[in-house]
Amino acid sequence: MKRLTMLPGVMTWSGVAKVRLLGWLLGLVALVLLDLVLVRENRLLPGNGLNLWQALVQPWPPVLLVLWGLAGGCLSQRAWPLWAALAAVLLFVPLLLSATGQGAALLLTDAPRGARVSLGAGLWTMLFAVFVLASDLFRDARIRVFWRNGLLLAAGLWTIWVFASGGLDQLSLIVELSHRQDRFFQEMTNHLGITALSVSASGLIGIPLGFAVSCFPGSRSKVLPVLNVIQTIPSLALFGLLIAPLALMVRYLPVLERLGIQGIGWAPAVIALTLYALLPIVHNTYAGFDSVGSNAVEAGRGMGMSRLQLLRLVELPLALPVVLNGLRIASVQNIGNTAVAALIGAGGFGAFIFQGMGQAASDLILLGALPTIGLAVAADRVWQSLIDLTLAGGSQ
Amino acid sequence: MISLKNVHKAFEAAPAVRDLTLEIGLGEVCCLIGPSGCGKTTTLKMMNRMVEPSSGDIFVDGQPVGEIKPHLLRRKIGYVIQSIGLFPHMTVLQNICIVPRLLKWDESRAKKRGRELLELFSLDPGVFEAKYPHELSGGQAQRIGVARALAADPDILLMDEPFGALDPITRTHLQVQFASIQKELGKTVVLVTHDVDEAVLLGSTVALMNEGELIQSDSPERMLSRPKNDFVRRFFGADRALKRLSRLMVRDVMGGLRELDAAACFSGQPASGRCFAVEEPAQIVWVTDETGRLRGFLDGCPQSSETAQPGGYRDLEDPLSYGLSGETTLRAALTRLIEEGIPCLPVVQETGQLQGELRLGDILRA
Repeated sequence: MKRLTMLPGVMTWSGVAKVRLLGWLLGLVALVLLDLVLVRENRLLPGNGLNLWQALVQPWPPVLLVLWGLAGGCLSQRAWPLWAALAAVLLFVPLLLSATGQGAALLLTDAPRGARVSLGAGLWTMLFAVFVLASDLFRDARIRVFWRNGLLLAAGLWTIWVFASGGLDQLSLIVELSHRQDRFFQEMTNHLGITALSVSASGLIGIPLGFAVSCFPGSRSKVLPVLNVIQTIPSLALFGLLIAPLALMVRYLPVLERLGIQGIGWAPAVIALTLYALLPIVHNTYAGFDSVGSNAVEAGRGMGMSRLQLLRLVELPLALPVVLNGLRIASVQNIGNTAVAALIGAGGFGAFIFQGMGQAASDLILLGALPTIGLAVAADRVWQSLIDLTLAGGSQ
Repeated sequence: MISLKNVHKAFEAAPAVRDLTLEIGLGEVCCLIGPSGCGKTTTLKMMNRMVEPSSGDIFVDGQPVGEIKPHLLRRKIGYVIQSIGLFPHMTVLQNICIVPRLLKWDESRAKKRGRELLELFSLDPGVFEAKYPHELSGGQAQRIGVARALAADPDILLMDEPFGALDPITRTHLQVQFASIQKELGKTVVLVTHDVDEAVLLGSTVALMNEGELIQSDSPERMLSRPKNDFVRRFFGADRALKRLSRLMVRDVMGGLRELDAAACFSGQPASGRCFAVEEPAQIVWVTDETGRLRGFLDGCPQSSETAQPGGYRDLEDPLSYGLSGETTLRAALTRLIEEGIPCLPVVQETGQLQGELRLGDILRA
């Protein structure tokens, strides 16, 4: 009885256990029923699906199934210590990938030149199932931080090693990458540059603007609707709209051209993305300063703070988490929108996506889409940890 | 210390304070009281320039406040706001030390002062200094709010309904604690309240306002015994005589005791101890142990030790809670007497030592 009360949500049919069961079953279905890889005669043709047993070399199929079975231990602590289950879940990724890479190499030995092995629905579903299980387990306080971070680091490093040692080289996605290695890093720089430039510019305009709106509440109904309207313009339309005026400006102000500004390219992209980022930044800055309670402000004034001290000691620290959250939203949003900016020649990972769409080469699309998602997630985490730092202690 | 001369304040033509003249002396506790919207908070806020008067003069320490920059003036005056207003992102100690910080005190000196204040308000610095406001109860937060106002040791303390948001038990407790701290510190305090009992308990002066005008300003005793007009009489209520009793402590009116001859009192009963009674006519003989701690009483009416008419001895189960403390207000003591349905109660120290006796007559004469 005591054990039952110690394990709420695991023994009972409520809370976390349900999510884990769902994730685990999803993984099982992916392993047993779905196609792990697709084999294609060349990079443009649709392929034939191969399941776990057809795609992998022995003894990988039974080994992976057993490992997933062990990962099922996370459904109940009685069956298995939770950290061991987390280990099974996390280490499943590098093992599955290296087995797939090895299988791909074997499949291609007899295949005609130009044949490709792409990742199939089974593998993607599997990765999603791992994500569901791992993120749920990460929230479980019963697993010590040491195990959580240590295992994540181990799985991450192993995955990188599998990739770096060439274990995945036969997969179509990596083939696409190896054909464009230099361009990949160049587009990454472009992507990050456009995002950073637009978010910084927007922050420089938006934070003072949001602060001004909070100082003059009457201006709120004038500023925010304008930003709302900008937000509703489709990004592609806004990029297009900027081409003509910029081209005109460059024509009459040749100095701009020397700065690298053109009707197409990064300039209209940065301008449009700056405008898009204004709404979350202004809105959050306004909301942040607005949320500083009038009590704290009155107390600060009554204690004898000058206007500047009130801002520095009370208003800014209390508003900061909300303001930073605006920058977080703007960053994630702009990383996504930068992909679209490739259409007006701004570069970035969107270049691969649109090139891949033009060629109907799905792995090339992925080469652009996956890093974009990765960047967005990474930016989100970085901002979030900054926000957590500013929240430490005080405000709930 | 603070004087207001013909002060007038209007908010968009609606007068909030009208022709107010008030003098608050050094070390006084002046309670501004009145119905909602009578202008008492506005009056308070004009003293530290949170609100600027429309006309009239305000002097603090002889200096017109209009000549001092508002934020510099406020650093010299402690201020407790109605909603407490602790800074949620600062620890308790940081909150308390905010004015010393603005005054650029040395950090270790400020911290030392902050810890002293925590102790003054019976909050253990080890437990409380690193807490954040959201971890405090209402009463604790309120005490921190007052401690913060006292941090830079200002001569003047302005308090805007400081105990308003607390439950009755905590409120009474804090009022008594504040009264004893104030007795020690001797600050000049201006306290806004709408609670008559609070004003009578804490104020050395009570200033009653209505519709922006000062109606009467006097000591609580005089306000209660000689109300200037019907409004004052009605405001302090039909039980204003009872309210006076909140101002008086048991130790001020209790009767002293003399020791009686124990053998005569017990006259053969199988009990022992020392016997005490007030000067005659005594109705009850209080019995203590050898060290003077109350144990029980003899129900009887000994006219003197020689002609004692001893009654039966009764042991008290819990003498400490049966007896009154010298620090009890007469109002509470009267309540006890009525509750117990008896004409007198013993007064004991915290240690249980018998100190005196309080009789109904003592209260009536007070």
